[in-house]
Amino acid sequence: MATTGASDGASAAKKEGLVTLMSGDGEIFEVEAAAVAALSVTIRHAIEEGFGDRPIPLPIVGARALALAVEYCRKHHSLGGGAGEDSAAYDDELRAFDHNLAKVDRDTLFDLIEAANYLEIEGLLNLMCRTVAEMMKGKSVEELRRTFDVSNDYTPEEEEEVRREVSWALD
Amino acid sequence: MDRISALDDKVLGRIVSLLPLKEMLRTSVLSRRWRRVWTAARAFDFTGAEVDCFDVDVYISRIDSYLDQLSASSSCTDIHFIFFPGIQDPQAADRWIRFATDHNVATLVFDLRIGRPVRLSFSSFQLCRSLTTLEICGYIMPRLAAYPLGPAFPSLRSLSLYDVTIADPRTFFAQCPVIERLTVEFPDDDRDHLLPASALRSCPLLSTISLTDCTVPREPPSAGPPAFPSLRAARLENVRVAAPQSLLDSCPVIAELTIQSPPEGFAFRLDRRHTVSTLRIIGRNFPRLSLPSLSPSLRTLALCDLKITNPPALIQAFQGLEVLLLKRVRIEPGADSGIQVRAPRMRHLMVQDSKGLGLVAVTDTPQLCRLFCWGDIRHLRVFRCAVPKLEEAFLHCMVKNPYGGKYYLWKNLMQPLSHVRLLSANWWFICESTYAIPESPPPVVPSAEENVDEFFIKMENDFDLNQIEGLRIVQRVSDIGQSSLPQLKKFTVYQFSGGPGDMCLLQFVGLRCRDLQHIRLHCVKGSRGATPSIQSSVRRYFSTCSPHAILQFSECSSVKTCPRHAELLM
Repeated sequence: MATTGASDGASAAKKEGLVTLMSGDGEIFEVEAAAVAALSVTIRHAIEEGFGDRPIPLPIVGARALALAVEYCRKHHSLGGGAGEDSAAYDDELRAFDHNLAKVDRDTLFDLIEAANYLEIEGLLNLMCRTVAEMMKGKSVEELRRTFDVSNDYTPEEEEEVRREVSWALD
Repeated sequence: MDRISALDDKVLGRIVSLLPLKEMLRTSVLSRRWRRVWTAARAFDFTGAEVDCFDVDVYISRIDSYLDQLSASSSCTDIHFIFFPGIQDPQAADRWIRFATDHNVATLVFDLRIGRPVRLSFSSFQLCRSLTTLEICGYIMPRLAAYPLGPAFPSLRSLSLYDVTIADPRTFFAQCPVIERLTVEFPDDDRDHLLPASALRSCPLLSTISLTDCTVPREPPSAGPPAFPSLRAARLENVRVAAPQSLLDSCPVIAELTIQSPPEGFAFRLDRRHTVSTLRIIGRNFPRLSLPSLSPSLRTLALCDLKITNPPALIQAFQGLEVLLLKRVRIEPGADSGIQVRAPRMRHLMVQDSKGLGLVAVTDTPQLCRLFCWGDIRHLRVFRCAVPKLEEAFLHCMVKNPYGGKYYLWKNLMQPLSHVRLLSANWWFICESTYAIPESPPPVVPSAEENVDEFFIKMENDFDLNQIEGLRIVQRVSDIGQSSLPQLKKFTVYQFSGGPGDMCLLQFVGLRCRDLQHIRLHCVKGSRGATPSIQSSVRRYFSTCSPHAILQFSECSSVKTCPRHAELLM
């Protein structure tokens, strides 16, 4: 976040507290190390291992998902981490932020889940899993297949058998 | 492959963990990929297997078969949470507990709500190294012999026992050496359940304890260290304590004490030695209670459903208090004289349904920042300059038409509060004091010289409305004054139902508040206010009259109290 002292050279001061991330599609992000390290286990470990000035490669995370994940870390670090503030107001703001984040389109949603899983951002992963679970709730098998474009590769006999196994859960 | 099926098992396990059991199992029909996905779930609530099933054996075998599949599945490793329905078949209970121990379950809930209590076998718990939270309802804990392998629950931090009979508390609690939170509700029968304090000597880390329906007998004083060296919070509900003073003395760091339904004659003192900073006493059927003498370290006092026989002790306690909650409290004798609140350190004052207190006069509270009043507003009086630091006032009048058109009374109440940042009030209370009419009797319109809007306007930049009494239609909205509410920034309505009254209110706010930044409407589920057509027309309306405001809809149930109320009542 903030640079620590004026004694360092100007270029070091500029770099201080920042970490460079590289998304799978090669985009470079310069972000506050404290915020992402506090929330992402993967990045924390990478920083500890000393990637130093080199960008940390995040092969399976796309630029768009990474930008959103970083935004999430930043928001939760500054609002959730800042102690002493009136927590009720801050909770409200965070809730609203999470709520909006969960409204992304289907593709971004799954990108975010994969990103959160890879970056090990527990809160984000939970939020997104909850979103998917909400989409699944109360749906029949056919509706689930339609909603998520799951193609049924069972043979009719196999499907019959599985259905028998969980027959009480199907109505 | 489609996006969702491409996720790895662990992530899918997380997702299906959030579904009810039925829907979790249903996913196995989706495709081959999904055949065993459910076995990766981390939390199972098997009570769902009982649904539509009246034959106990059927659902026992159902659960057994799922447990077998889980045991056989490679994606099932550690399960965090299992909730089993209670059953009276001890062998099955034993099997299930063993399954839980085999899968390193951290939280186990076993709930037998109906039927005859069953004795649980403890041999199966013996290797429960991972268990940190255990909740058991409706079983009998057998007498335990000391295990050669060490305690049965070496990691257990939190234990809740509901309707549970413990054959020998001493040996039982010796099995839980690191327990921190303990809740025990004994069966509510005629028997006297004894829980000697010394039985808990083997649990030195205990920091929170909650006991219901039991007796703590008198014991010979022991020379050892205090029985509860780490206890911070205790809740005793209908607990007979033979020697309350010595029990209290054995808790050197206790900070929070809650006494619910105290039996007749429950008496104790809090003096300088005691560290209790929060005391709650909650009666049942208004028992007469002589308030114990209170220590100067007491900061929070909550009294509910009580008849206080020594009001001077209450008044005296105000000296050190920061938070005071009085809910359905009566004082006797001399209820009509009321109480005066002079409290140099008080920050929160909450009075609910306390007509029996008489007039509550806030006369000198230099630090008060939150005032909450729910009930008959006419019993509240705030003196001029008594609340210089007040930030929030929550006024909820349960009496219709409290001032009957006598606006100077409303003015008397409101003027000392006119500097608050946040005012919450109920809607028809406001109606009455502005223009519109909640009751069918002839419209009461304040005369020009009383000009209620003048101070009404001064106070808010934040406004919460809470409507429990249902709205009467506000008529003639276009006539509602030319004045505006220039400072109002945030406007919240709880229980927005989209009825004509609500719509008029919004129109009123839109007309008069030109500087709104946030509008938040908590729509009642299933009401007209939750329909897209109403919401889009509200959006359209505010986009023309308050284009810069953020409009948010959220759902709420039709419960009577607003969230703020619950929040304020702790």
